[in-house]
Amino acid sequence: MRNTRLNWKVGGEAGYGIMTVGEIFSRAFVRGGYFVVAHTEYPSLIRGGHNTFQVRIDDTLIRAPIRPIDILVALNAKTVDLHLDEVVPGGIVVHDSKSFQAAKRRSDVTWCDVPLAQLVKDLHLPKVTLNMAAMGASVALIGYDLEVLNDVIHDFFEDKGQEIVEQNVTAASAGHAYVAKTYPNVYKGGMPRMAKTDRITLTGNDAICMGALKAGMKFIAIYPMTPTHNIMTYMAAHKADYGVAMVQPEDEIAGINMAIGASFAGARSMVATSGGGFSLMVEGLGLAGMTENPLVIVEGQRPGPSTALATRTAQGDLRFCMHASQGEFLRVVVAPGDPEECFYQAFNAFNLADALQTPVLLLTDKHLATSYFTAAPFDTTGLHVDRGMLLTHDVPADFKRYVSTPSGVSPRTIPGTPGGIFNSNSDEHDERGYVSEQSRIVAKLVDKRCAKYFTAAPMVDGVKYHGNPASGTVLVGWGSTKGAILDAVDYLRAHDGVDLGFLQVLYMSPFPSDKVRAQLADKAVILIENNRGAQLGSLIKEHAQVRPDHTILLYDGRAFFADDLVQSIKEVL
Amino acid sequence: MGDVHRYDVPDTWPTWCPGCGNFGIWHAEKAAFAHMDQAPDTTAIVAGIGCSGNFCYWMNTYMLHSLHGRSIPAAQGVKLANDDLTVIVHAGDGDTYGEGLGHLLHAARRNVDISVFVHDNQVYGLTTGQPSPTSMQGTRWKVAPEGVIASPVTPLPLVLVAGATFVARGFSGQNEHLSTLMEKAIQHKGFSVLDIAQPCVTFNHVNTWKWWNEHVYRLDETNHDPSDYRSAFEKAQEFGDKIPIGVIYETDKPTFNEKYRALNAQTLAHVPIDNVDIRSLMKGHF
Repeated sequence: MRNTRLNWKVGGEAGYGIMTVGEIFSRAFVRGGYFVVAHTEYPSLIRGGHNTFQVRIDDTLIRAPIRPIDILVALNAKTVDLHLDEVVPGGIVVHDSKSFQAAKRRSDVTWCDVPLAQLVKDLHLPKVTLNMAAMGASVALIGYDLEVLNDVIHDFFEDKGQEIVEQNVTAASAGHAYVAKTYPNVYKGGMPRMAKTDRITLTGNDAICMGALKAGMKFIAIYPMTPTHNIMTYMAAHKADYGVAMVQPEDEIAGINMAIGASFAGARSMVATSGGGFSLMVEGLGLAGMTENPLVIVEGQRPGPSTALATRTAQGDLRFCMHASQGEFLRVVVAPGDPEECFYQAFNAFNLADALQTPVLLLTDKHLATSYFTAAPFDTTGLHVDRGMLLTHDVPADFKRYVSTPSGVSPRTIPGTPGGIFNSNSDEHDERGYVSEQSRIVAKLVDKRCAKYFTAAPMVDGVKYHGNPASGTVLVGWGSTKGAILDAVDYLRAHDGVDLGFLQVLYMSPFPSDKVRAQLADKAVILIENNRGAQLGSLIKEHAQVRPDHTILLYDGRAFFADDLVQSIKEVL
Repeated sequence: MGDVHRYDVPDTWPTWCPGCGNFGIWHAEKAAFAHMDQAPDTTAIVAGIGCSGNFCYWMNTYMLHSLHGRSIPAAQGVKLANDDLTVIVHAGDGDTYGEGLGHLLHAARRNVDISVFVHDNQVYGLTTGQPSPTSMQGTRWKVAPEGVIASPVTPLPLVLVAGATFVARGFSGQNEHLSTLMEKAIQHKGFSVLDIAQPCVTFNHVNTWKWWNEHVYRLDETNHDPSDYRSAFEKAQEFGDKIPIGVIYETDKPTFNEKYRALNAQTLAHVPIDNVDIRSLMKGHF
């Protein structure tokens, strides 16, 4: 699969600022009119581990990484030794023979020896700017515009002061100048700057933060955990501007209970974690369900069980999230597939949580949460905050917080509201919130809470159908695999004349049974998931009585590469 | 002085055992509220699970009957969302010093302006009498017939070291004194912990009314200075032949919640969210 303008990879020891490079390089190309997808692979180490950032760049919309590398930028020998095989014949390897000698060699690639460390040292710049020199060198190789790169570097470091900006810009310019002089015209696929656009570069985590802030989230508690800890960073940077209280709790148990307290008191509240942290939150999830306090939970999946692969990706927590906590109540589970959906679904999650007075889980994974994608600026004109049946004044004299209604949702007051006193009760309770174990009342209140499942179903667009509606073969997936599946569909249509359909399941709970059945009945179904157990497949069998004909499952801690997926689909077609 | 019955829930009466120490705590809090003319609508009580947590069924205020051990985190969330509220935790010794001990210490170091009233009867009552974290060493129970091996949790020195800005012990049997301590704890700006000694008349046959009456003495009848940290640390550890009741320590420090209150003109719960402008956020990704 070679349908991209440039696939660029940088690798080095952890601590070399590889993550920074990924974001800056991506933004520099989006700002110059291109589309990018950039993802990182790294072990769970602060220093000394091997980090890579891979940036795929094209002039049309792309959504997933592909394997073959055009330019490999090696900041250490390990990068060459581990990734040289990924470089296409005729590709380029940027290395620094003054700093390291790699064991592996290939004669069918061009070796550009750039003394990055020396360049930085000669300019008396700190060693951490070496990554900027590497980006400048890369920009020179492909004939891109240094000015755009330096603009992004400027914007990125602006908060840290003029001196830091200048150091980084100087390093990038030095790398650029060296390559422009030493290796002119090495790369044949020149990439000029194109017309300016207003497109943005962002991760799934970024988009969730923006959606949450737009929704008026006022309280967030996060215990640091990959891959959602970036949400903390984002919120820390913006909490003052948006009047948000952010607490780093002593553990996830405290975090979710704080958020429930804040929600009970009337603030829109959120927690974010990964599977391990969510395991600790499960007791609190039930508290939110029982007390009917709105809550938004972000679960960024990584492989499990236990610590497993702390910095890698997976979709193994679907069933866990849907059924977490003892007892029966509605947990809304939505799995956005790209940053755009992360934004709109995060916004909507707060409305749903308020409308249904129940917890809403946003299920992402490391790939979606931390990879960079290109998106059009979000259109916020249609977004309206709806707090549901929140009663702020004129509380009726016979107010019953948990009054049984056909929808299962009842008017809610918050502390401070005159006449609205009630008990937000974790014990089974009557309509006023007082403890009750009478069988008639218990069954009535269980019915009330479970009615929300049917109330929620028509409130959400549970599926999205992409591609050829008439295709006899339909791919099915959920969450972050959306990008690879859409890219594969585009590629197969363009290169193999196969025009497939793709059913994306967006809401896992309430499960869109009828829509899934309608789209999949009488079709050949290929199920694609980033897990071992085909968990969506089991849901489809259970709720839509459709049995997938083929399954393509990946569970090695990595996301699907679009080119690999194309091959896998071809094998089963 | 308001009416204590203002805080009663009509047509109910507590289900505690006759003679339970909880009755004294209940009366003391209603008296404190009445004395302060506390408005029920702006009071939020967060209760744990146990005989202590059931307190929330017989007080006419906003209530969050939370989880065993988790009432302190939930209460901090309530206060951060709306610091116009008076937020009080009622939880037991198993709740606070067992399942939730970590939360207690972290809350103390944050100094969120909430009051934690611990119903400390040294036993798990609702589950019919197992030893609790504060059960005295050597005491015998049906699940510990050879006697409790571990030494008890010493909550007051722990919270003092962790940074609590108000530390006190009361006794359910000295009701007016307890009521005064509750009022002081509520009025204290910062994280306050009031450990309340109360007999469990059904399951704790060691620390009885008689036992407590023989052991407690009042700090306000001594020359103890609650602003003196070193002497407070000494008094906090005193739990032998004599057990002090009263304010052990009080100091003034900035609270966690006031930092967040400064961010908005209104409390977080009331700030308008209809039209949040995120254009500047979008610019940051260009």
